[in-house]
Amino acid sequence: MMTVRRVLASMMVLPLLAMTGCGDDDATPRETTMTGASAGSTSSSPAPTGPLSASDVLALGGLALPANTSGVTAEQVDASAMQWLEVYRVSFTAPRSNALQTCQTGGMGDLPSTGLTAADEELLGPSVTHVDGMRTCSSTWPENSAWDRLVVIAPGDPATVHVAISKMGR
Amino acid sequence: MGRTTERGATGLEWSGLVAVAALVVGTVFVTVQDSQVEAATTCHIGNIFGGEADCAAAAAAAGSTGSTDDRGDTQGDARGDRRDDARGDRPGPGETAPPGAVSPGGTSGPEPFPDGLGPAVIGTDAGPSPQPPVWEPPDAGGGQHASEGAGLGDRATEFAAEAAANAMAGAWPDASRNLLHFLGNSGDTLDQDVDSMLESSQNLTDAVDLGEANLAALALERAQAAGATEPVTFPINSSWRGVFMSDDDNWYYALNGIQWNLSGQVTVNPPTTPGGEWTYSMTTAVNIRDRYNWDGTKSTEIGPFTVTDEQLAELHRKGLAQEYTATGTSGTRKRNG
Repeated sequence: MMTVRRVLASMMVLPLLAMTGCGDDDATPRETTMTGASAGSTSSSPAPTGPLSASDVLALGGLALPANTSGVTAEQVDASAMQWLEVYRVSFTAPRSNALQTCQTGGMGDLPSTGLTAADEELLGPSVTHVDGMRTCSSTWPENSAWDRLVVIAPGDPATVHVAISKMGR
Repeated sequence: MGRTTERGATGLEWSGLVAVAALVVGTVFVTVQDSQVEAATTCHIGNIFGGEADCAAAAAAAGSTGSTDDRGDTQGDARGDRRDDARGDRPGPGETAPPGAVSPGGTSGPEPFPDGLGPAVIGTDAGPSPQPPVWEPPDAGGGQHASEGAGLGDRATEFAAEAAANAMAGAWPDASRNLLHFLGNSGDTLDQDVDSMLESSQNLTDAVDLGEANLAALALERAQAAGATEPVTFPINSSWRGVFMSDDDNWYYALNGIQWNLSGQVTVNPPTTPGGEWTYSMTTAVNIRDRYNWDGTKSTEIGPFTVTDEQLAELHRKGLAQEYTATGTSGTRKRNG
């Protein structure tokens, strides 16, 4: 059977390659590439353009900045090496009771965090590591399921909050 | 993303694949003599098997209707409107959305519990496990099915894609099965082997394990805060969350990005002796959802073959293949602590 398949292949490969203009019959592993673009987004909250506002980024995932925050940062992450089409990070510090409301603004409840997966760490960035007493919430945003939200709230009062908002691709 | 991996397929399998494809090409060229159709056919086959040919001119010459980005955007916008309309009918936690309240391609179900745990009941049984939550597809897909006319070039693309799907059946059975179902053009929901995903994809397993651990911790926290003196049980129905199974070739090519949730229950047992430990017993199932579609923005190289989203999305728009919803539920998982 193997011989038959090889003969068949050798008889048919050359005409096929000639027709398709392919000269490379190398069957060695090749790079798999997936590239994504945000065009055609069905988001009801368009991706931010220009300087990033933390509120605009959080709104992509149906979240809102709680009151009395300080040290607010927002960035778009280069997602070209990720599976996600778009990734944004927001961090801020707020009184603990306010920080915990971050999850509630997105219709989520906070849970004790027992760890972070490698995928979580990739989304949150290298500055975020799991510590005891951390709380978390995460979900796809029900109003636009292209977007995922991941929130971690460090222990202490005031508490530092790290948020990753990411857009799903195939 | 860039991704370099060792492929599971052998050289012999690739040879078999090329042989089948060559047979398809030969058949097409023997039966079709028209030079314009021949040009279009060559172009489409060439693209599937790694070429870089621009099919637009050939397709135009052959009278094939080319797709446009505008069409896809319009479809996406229209679909987005439908989704927005549907959101107003969302049920409350534990309630199931009424028929018609879910977007096409979505699946109905109750709202998840906001933090994953429902109200506690005294005892060790919270009743039937909740159905997976209502689910909406995360993207618009490739456009409206059968909205454009198909030409012979498109049929050649279809045949070549089918040959590729058959050839990868040994190495990547689920990738093959899913592509063949797409090419089968029924649009029917296709059940997926979630246990296989959990065995193969550490990304998924890690996410699920952590999700269970966090829910267990929450259940313990909540029972302790309530001062439970006898076993209490919480139903579990967590929100959907995305994960990519890019660490397993079969599932990467079969679905890759999916959304998953946990349903089941967790029972918390207070200490039986003063100062003793609180324990829990959790029973869950992992549910997954995905829309098998091609939105025209990506390409995937599978060994020597390049399959573009656009090529496969065209098959959907031209009525030769059809997008569908992939669903699945794992076997029962047990966890104690």
